[in-house]
Amino acid sequence: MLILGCDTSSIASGALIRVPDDAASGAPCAGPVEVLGAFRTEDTRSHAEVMAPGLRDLLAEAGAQGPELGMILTGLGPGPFTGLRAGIVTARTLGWAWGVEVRGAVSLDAVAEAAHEDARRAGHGLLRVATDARRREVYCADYEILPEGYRRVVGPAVGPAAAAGAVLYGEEAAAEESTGTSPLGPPAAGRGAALYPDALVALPGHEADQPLAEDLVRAALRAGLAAAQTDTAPLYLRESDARVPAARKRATR
Amino acid sequence: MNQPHTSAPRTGPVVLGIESSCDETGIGIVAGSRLLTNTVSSSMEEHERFGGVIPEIASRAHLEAMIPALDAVLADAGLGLAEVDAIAVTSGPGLAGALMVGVSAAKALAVATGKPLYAVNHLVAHVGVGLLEGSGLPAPEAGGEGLPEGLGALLVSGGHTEILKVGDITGSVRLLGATLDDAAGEAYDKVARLLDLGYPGGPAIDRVAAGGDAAAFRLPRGLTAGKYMGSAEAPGSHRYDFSFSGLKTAVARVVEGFEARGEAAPVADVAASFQEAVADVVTAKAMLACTENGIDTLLLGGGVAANSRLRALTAERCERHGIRLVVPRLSLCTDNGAMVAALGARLVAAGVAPTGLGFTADPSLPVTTVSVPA
Repeated sequence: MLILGCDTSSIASGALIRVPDDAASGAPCAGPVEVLGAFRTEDTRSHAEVMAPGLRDLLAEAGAQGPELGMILTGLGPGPFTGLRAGIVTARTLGWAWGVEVRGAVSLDAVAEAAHEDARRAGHGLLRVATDARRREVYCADYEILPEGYRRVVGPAVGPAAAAGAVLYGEEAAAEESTGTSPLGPPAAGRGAALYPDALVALPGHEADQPLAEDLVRAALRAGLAAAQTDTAPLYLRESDARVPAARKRATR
Repeated sequence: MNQPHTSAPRTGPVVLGIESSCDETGIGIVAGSRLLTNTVSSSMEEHERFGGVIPEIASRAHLEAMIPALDAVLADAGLGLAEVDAIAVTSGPGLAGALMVGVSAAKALAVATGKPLYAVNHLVAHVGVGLLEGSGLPAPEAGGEGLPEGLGALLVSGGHTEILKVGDITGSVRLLGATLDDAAGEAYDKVARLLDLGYPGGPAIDRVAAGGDAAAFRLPRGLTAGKYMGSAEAPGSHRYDFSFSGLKTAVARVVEGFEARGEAAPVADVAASFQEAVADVVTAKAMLACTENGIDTLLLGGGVAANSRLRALTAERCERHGIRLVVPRLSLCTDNGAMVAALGARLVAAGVAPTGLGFTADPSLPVTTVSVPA
């Protein structure tokens, strides 16, 4: 089965992946997958520009037709709103036009997928994923490192990088927990670790990890495609900044 | 292509148009100059308590409305996606985040279908809708462009107040005048809030103004001083431009004056006087622009075209100046996808090269860019 993955929660990325047929049944599948093609941007501002042509080229280079796809998997964020929507609406529209099922996955899982093996190798039981939410905040989640694979135990959430523990567990639990482990919480993967070294301890080699479409697909396969969300609503986690206007300013004094 | 309807002597390319520049998710399909379907889903109610369009709320609504709207247009037109010849989308001007949703959806549609994609100008699309059959402008004849020689457009909405001169709708459009601050519709919203009339302000003020005295208060007409106007031979810096911020402040002063004296402001009179000031300055400048630029057919578009006083005064003054006035029906005056499709169909018919997939939304796309070049 062919899966077209895309994620625009930070940079924009796409991947065309062939998975074993038993994965198509929806059962968990952590074996190797065949990446037929992938692309990613360097910047975080060109999602609406590159997404559709990038995905088109992936299919063309693999000689595949859209309707042959078994699934389109899109990252649901959390991530900056405008870019996030560009990826989700692209996935939804392609799926609609081709008659292909569209499902979604938490974008932070893609970073956990990329980092969990190194976390296990270093002997960590917990991994924090923290991506850039701007405004000195991070999108974050904590993952339990299992003998094989990992499991998201809390998150996703958004909040100040300096208080990621409290953002995920609440003030009290975070204060209690910090007496046992590092006050800065578990080792962190993702751009948040690079941006806020005072607040997060980086898992070496993973402080620049971005959510990637191919890792997103791997993460979804690991959990089983049957478990991937059929609802592709974006994880905004923040309200719009709109405020009901206050009383008008006087024009006269 | 077959021509089953004798009433439609000419059909043309089937174009699907997507509009998402503000708070309306519009998708329409045309066949040449014939409108097949037009569906608009608005997030207006969600903006009500804020007294104006909140870009992020509009963008979120576009994402949720897009697929249902696509389903609706195909069902309503009785068409399959394979029967669509080209896709057109508003790529600007408009709200960046909102535009991005429509642009991304349109690109995905183009990828999925392999059909050419045109990134078009929202303002020119407002004019393009006038070229649909039954919209007022003459339908294009076989072998001819069908566009009147001296065509101009007065676009008045919540986001725009512009006067355009249209030489060739597929390539040559000139901006004669525009607002320097608020759009006229925005001024309506703000004044309606001042008078506690609710949102959107246009219909509310129009309703209340009907029972008021338009001459009760003398309110300023922005940018009409001599230094801005100049003369036809030596135009000032803003001869055809608009400004509504001073008017808005003047209304506030009037209302506050009554409040200071412990009196209730005469809402109907204030609303009528405000409405008169807007309609007067907009139409006066539009008439100047027309008569001085060889415009003898004027298309009135945008949501404020629904305003009774603006319509009446535009009609009256156009008649006095021998200008033919064309006002498309209201569902085509407000933002919609059919206008984008209509302009797209003209571009296809004129052999203009499609934009392709490499463009991005441009919140300040100039009117001189009718369609974004590849």
